[in-house]
Amino acid sequence: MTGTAHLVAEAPLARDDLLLDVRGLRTHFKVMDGTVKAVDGVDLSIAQGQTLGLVGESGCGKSVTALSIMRLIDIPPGKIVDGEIWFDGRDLLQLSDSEIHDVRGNDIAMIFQEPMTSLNPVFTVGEQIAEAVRLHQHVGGAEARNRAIESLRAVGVPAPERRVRQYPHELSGGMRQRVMIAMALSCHPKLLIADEPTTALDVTIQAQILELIKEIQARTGTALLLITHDLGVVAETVQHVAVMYAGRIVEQGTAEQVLLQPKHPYTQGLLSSIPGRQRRGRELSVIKGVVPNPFRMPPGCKFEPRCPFAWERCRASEPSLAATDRDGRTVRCFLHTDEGASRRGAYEAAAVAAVRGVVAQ
Amino acid sequence: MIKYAVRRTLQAIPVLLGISMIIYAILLIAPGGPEARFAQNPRITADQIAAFRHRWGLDQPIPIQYCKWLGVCGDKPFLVNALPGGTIELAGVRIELPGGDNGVLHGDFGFSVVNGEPVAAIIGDRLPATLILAGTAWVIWVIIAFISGVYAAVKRYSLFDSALTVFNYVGFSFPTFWLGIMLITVFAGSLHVLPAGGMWNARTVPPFGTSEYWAFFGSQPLNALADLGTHMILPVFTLVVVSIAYDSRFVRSSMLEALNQDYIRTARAKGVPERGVVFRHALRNALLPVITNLGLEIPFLFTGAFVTETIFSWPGMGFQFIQSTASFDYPVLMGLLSVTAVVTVFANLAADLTYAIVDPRVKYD
Ligand SMILES: Nc1ncnc2c1ncn2[C@@H]1O[C@H](COP(=O)(O)OP(=O)(O)O)[C@@H](O)[C@H]1O
Ligand SMILES: [Mg+2]
Repeated sequence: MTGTAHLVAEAPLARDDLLLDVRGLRTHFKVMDGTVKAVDGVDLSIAQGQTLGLVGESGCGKSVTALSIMRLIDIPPGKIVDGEIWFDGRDLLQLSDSEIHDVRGNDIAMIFQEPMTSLNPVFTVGEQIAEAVRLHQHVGGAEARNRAIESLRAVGVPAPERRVRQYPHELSGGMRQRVMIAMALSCHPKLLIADEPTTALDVTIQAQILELIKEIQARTGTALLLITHDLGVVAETVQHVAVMYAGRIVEQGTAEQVLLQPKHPYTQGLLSSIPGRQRRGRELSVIKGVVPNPFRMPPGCKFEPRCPFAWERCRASEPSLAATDRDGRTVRCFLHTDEGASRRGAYEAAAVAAVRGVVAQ
Repeated sequence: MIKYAVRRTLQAIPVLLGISMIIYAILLIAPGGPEARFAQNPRITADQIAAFRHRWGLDQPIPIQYCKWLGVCGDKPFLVNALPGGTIELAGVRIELPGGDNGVLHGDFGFSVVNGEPVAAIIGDRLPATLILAGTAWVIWVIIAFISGVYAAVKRYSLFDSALTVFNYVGFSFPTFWLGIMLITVFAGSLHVLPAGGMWNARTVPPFGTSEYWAFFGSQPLNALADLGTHMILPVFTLVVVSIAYDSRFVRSSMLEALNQDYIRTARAKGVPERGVVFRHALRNALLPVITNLGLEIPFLFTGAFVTETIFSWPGMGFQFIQSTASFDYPVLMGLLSVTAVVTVFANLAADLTYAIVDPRVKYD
C-alpha cells in the first residue's frame, strides 16, 4: 500500500525519456566499527540508448552504486537506506524478488571487473550463456544453445561452436570477458552496466574489449553505464560523465564539458593526474591527501580537506548538486554558487592549465 | 578418463605393499610378540615357548617371515609362489596353476594363534557387522550434515546457524564412551526399551553370519529387521552424534566459500532465482572439497567405530581388534589392519576419481 502511494506521489516527476533515473540513493554497510556510508546521495540518469561514464577513485562507491541498481547488495551487511531507482517507469527498489529476477539479466545486464573469477568453473561457457537465455526468453535447450553460439559470434569469439563446449579455465582473460559480454547481451538488455570491464586485463586486450563494448553499444542501441577510474577510457567511450567522490556525485555533464571544462576541483585534480607521453619524466600532479575515513567524514564538503581552493564556507556545510548556468550540467561545489563568485577566476585559470596538459597529448 | 583410472589403480599396488611392510614392522617393534600371551603363565616353560615360536615360524629371519606372510616365499621356488596356484577349470579343461596357495596374495591371512581359525574367516564374519553399523551411521550423518550445513550457510548468522554451531561443538566434545554408556544406562538400564548391546537377541535369533541366521532372515524378514534395527539404534545414534559435527561444519564452510565467489554474483546478475544460485551454482562447487573429505572418512568408519563397537558389544572389526590386541593375536591384527589399509587406499582412489569427474579443471595427465 505504501508502495502505491509512493508511486502516485513521485511518478509525475519521472521524466519519461529517461531509461534510468537514480535519485538520492543511499547505500550503507553496517560493519564492526560503525556504518560505512558507501553511497550517500547519488543522483544520476541515463536516457534510452545513451552512454554514461561513472568515474572516481577506487573506493568512492562506484561498484556499490551499480550493485544497488541491480539490487545485488548483500543484506546484511549492506542496506539501501534511501532513494529511488526509476527504470523504464518502475522504481526498482519497490519490486518484489521475483520481479527483480526478471529485470536482472533481461532488462539490465552487468559485466564485472574480474573475468577470471566471474564465470562458474564447473559449467561450460555455453551452459552459462544458455542459462540466461532459458531464464528470460523461455526457449528450449537446443534453441538456447544456438543463441549462445550466436552471442559468442557477435562478440568476436572465433569458432563459437567449439567454444560453447569449453570450460572457463580453458579460456584467456580477454576471451572470458568476451564471454561475459556475450552473456550480458544474450537477452538484448535495455541497459548494460560494465563495472571496470578492462581493469584486470592486459593493456592490448583492454583496447579491444573497449572497442567491442563501443561497437556493440552502437549496433544494438543499448544504454551503457560504464564504470571506470580511468578518465582516458571515458574520453574514448561515452557521451556523458558523472564524477563520484566519497559516495556522492560531484559533477555531471557531457564528456566534452566535463573533460574540457571541469567545474569541480576534484575533476580537475583527476585530469591533472592522468599520466601521459608529454608528461613522462615530469612530476605527475596527484591530488594531495587521501580519501576521507568513512567513519570521520568532514562536516562540510567531503573534498574540502584535499581541495586547494577551499575556504571557510566549504567547512560550514555541504554544497548540493546544483545546475550551473548552461546545458543541464550539475556540480556540487560552492565555487559555482554566488558565494564563490570572487574565487572562480583563480579556479578557472588552474582548470585551463590542467586541461591544456591533457589535451597536449 | 579410463586411462587415468587404470593408472591410479596400478599406482595403488606399490602403496599397499609399502603399507603392509610398515604395519608388519610396527607390530614387530611393539613389545611382546605372539608369545607374550604366555608371559604371565608360570606353568609354561621356556622350551614350550621355543616350540611355539618354531611352530609359528617366529624363529626365522624377519624378512623371511614377511615374505611368507605375503605369499611370495613358500614351498614353491621364490616368486613362482606369488603366482596364482591350485587348479581351475576353463571350458572343461582342468588347468594346474604353477603358483603357491598360501600367503596374503592368495587371500590367506594365516590362522589365529588363539583358536586356530583362519583369519580370513574371522574377518569375513566381522566385516559385514561393521559395514552394517558404520555404513548406516555414515549415510545418516552425511545426509544430515549436508542438509544442515547447506541450510546454515544460506541462513548464515540465523538462529538455526547458531543452534547448529552449539550442537556441533557439544557433539564434537562428547566422549564416545560417555555418550554410549549414558544411552545404555537410560534406554536399556532405566527404561528397558532397547537392548544394552549385541547385534541380535540370542534367545530368539540365531547368531549373525551363520547360515541359520540367513535362513531366519529369509523366513521372517520383518522380525529379523526389527531385531537388527532395535540393536542398531543406540550405536548408530552414538556414531552419528559424535561424527556429524565435523562434516556439518565442513559442508557449511565449503558452501559459504562458494557463495562468496564472484561467479555467484554473476549468476544473480543474470537473474537466476535464489534456489538456482544455491543448488546449481554454489552447491556444485561446494561439493568438490566435500567429496575428498567423504572419501577420507570411509576408513574412519572401520577404525572410528572401535569404541562404539566395544561399548555396545557389536561383533565388528573394531570389537575384534580390541579382543585380538588383548590376546596378542598377531595374525588377526595383521589381517584387520591390512583390510583397513586396502579400504583406505581404495576410498582415496574413489574420491580422486569422483573429483576428476565432477571438476572439469582436473588434468588427467
Ligand atoms: N560488503 C561490504 N561490506 C562493507 N563495506 C563495503 C562492502 N562493499 C563495499 N563496501 C565499502 O563501500 C565503499 C565503496 O566501495 P566500492 O563501491 O566497491 O568502490 P569503487 O568505487 O572502487 O567501486 C568502500 O569503502 C568499501 O569498503
Ligand atoms: Mg569497484
